[in-house]
Formats: sequence, C-alpha cells, structure tokens
Amino acid sequence: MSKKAGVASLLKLIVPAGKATPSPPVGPALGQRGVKSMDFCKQFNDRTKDLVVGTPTPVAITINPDRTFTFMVKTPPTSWLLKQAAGVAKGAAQPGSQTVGTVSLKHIYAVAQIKQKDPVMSHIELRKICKSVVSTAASAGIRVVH
Amino acid sequence: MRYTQSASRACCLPRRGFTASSITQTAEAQTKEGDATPQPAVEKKTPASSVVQGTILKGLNIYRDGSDPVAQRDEDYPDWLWKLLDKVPKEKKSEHERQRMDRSDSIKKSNFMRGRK
Repeated sequence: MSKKAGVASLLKLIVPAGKATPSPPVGPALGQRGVKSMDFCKQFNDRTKDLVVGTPTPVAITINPDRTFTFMVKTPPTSWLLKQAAGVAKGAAQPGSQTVGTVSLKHIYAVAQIKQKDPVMSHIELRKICKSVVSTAASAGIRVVH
Repeated sequence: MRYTQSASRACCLPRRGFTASSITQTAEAQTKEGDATPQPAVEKKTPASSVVQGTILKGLNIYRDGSDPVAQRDEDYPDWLWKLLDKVPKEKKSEHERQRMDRSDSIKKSNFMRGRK
C-alpha cells in the first residue's frame, strides 16, 4: 500500500472467529504493513469470543502510519449464512441455471436480523436488508420459497 | 402546445408541473378512472408459509451462547416479507418518452463519435 507518511491503509480480511493465528491468511497480510500479527490475533479472538468458533468473520483493519491499528468486526458473509440455512456446503457453479438448495422467507428474515447487527447495516431498513439477502440467495443458486 | 412538444431538451430541465407532464397526467387520470375497481376492504390473505411455526431454523445461530432461531407464526412477521418474491411489473414508457430517450441517446452517440477523433 501507500508508503507516504500520514496515510492510513485499510485491509479487509475474512478470519475464522476465535481462530486468528499468525500464519496465513492473517500473518503475511499484516506483517507486510508492519503490524505485529500476534497483537491483532489476541484482540480479534477476544472480540469474537461470543461467536461460534470458526465462523468466517469479515474484519476491516485500519493501519495507521505509526503501525498502530484499529479494526471493525462485521457479521458473517450473507452468502455463508444462506448456505448454512440451506444446509449446503457450496453455492451453485452456475447460479442462473442450477439450484443447490432452498430457503423460505422466514429464513431470509432471520438472516436479515443477523445482518442488521452489522455496524455497516445498522441504519438500513430491515425490509431493504431482506431484499438484498434475497438477491444474494439468487446469486448463490439458492431458491427462495414462500 | 407546440412550445411544450418541441422541448426535447426539456428532459434535462427540472420538471415543471404545467406543460407536457400535465398532458400525460390527465391521460393517466382518465385511464385510472376507467380501470378503477373497488378496493377490497380486507387485505388479500397470503398463502401459508412453507415453514410452520416452531420449526427450528437450523444453521443460523452464530453465537456461542445462543441457539438456532425458531420460526414464528405467519402473523408475527411483517406484511412486506410476503411480498418480497413478487415480481415488480416493469413500467411501460409512453411513445413520447421513448422517442425522447432515443433522440437523446443518438445525440450522445454522435457527440461521442465526433469527440473521439
């Protein structure tokens, strides 16, 4: 990233909750930017201790020029939540023509409720979050039924 | 009347309520009156959800101390939820609007071609 003094860089990763370790993917990504990965791992695991271990958790790390960092933990990816709800491991290879699973509108509602807790989404109407989840399901090849 | 019709550039101007739009509005009002059916007093009943109340929605618990959410009664969910899967009908554009769009698209295209060199 930028080497100019005074510019903070942003790093986005998806890390399993409670399982951050210095090794890849976390280690090299942070090490390149001069951050001690062990520090990050300890703080991250502490902040995600309420989550089920291993839940993929997107995190946005802001690294300051003086090598300090702050990070924001977000809710698991919508597509992952939908695959869990549908009971499939992988999404469709060809989402338009293939369907790998089904979920109902009540599942969509439950997923949207989880996503609403995300700091990014907290000000968005629940109805609009649901619409977005329905679109994500379509792109994963998961059919939504009534 | 002709003043308003010649304003192909009017599509770029902020909408004024007294010219071409008012013409289309009266046309729309007429068709609406013709199609008007009495609105049902009671809301149309939506078909029952495939997920019965009490079904455990497996896989959606991400908290260590939590448990999978349970489906509630259909009535406890907001009304808009049942409309999420409805297809939104595409609005048909009037002939006038379509001509306007075609004209402005061809102008933009020719400007691009000229500006390319």
